Amino acid sequence: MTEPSRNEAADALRDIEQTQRKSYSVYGYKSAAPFLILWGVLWIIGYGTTDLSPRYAGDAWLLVTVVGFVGSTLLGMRTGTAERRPFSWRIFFSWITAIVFFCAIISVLKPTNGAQVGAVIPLLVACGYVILGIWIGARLVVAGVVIAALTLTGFYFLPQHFGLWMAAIGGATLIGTGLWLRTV
Amino acid sequence: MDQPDQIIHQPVRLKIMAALKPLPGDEMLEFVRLKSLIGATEGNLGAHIGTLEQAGYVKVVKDFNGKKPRTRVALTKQGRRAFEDYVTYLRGIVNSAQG
Repeated sequence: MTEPSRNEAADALRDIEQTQRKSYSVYGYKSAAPFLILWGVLWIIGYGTTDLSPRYAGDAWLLVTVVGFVGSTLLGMRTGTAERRPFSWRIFFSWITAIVFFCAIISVLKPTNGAQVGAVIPLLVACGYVILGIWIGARLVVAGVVIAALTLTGFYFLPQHFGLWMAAIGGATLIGTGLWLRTV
Repeated sequence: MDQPDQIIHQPVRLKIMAALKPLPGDEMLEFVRLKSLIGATEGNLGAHIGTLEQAGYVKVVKDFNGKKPRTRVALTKQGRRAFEDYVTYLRGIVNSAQG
């Protein structure tokens, strides 16, 4: 067997790098998709209740937080594979960290109405998606930018029905993006 | 490595190994996803995966996801090491030609 020439070796290394990058993106998309779908459903419940039955908004968001926390932890235990993994403290503390920092940010900003809270959290989430996307793949960047743009649109142009906007458009966008990521 | 690993030294098999390498730990990639990543036909991909499996470089798991049959592939430790050695071999050629 003849040894590859320098150009052939360089081409092979380039092919390897491209394939690895694509594979890494596919794995990241596949891992992120169920989280987006879960949170899309939860946004519909949380924001929808806030707009349609404001007196139950607190209960709805408590439910959303608990279900989101438990659901995300369970999803994280089976990320990328069909086999259930043992409980992961790393995933558990990631969510605890996110919740604690969200609370800290809200306490510092001292929002004067619910819409401000309802806008800040999705913007932070969108920021997270964009940063993740920079490392994993462009689709997550698109997801983050779209979520941020829709949040700002609803907040500034539809303040009376911001909750309904975030439930219908934001929730549907999260679910749609999750399904889109699964198509790769 | 004086001679390239004959199993990996084939473009489709090299791509299969490259696609499986970034997966952490014992994660597996579904055959259909691997097919779209590699851009090979189903028969061609299946044959090359068979060769890699015989060499002990990949493990193949066939099961059902609900009612749908599913084939998943992952690198073995031996395959991971062989792939890393092959990449080192290629880098050696590029670097030696530069020097």
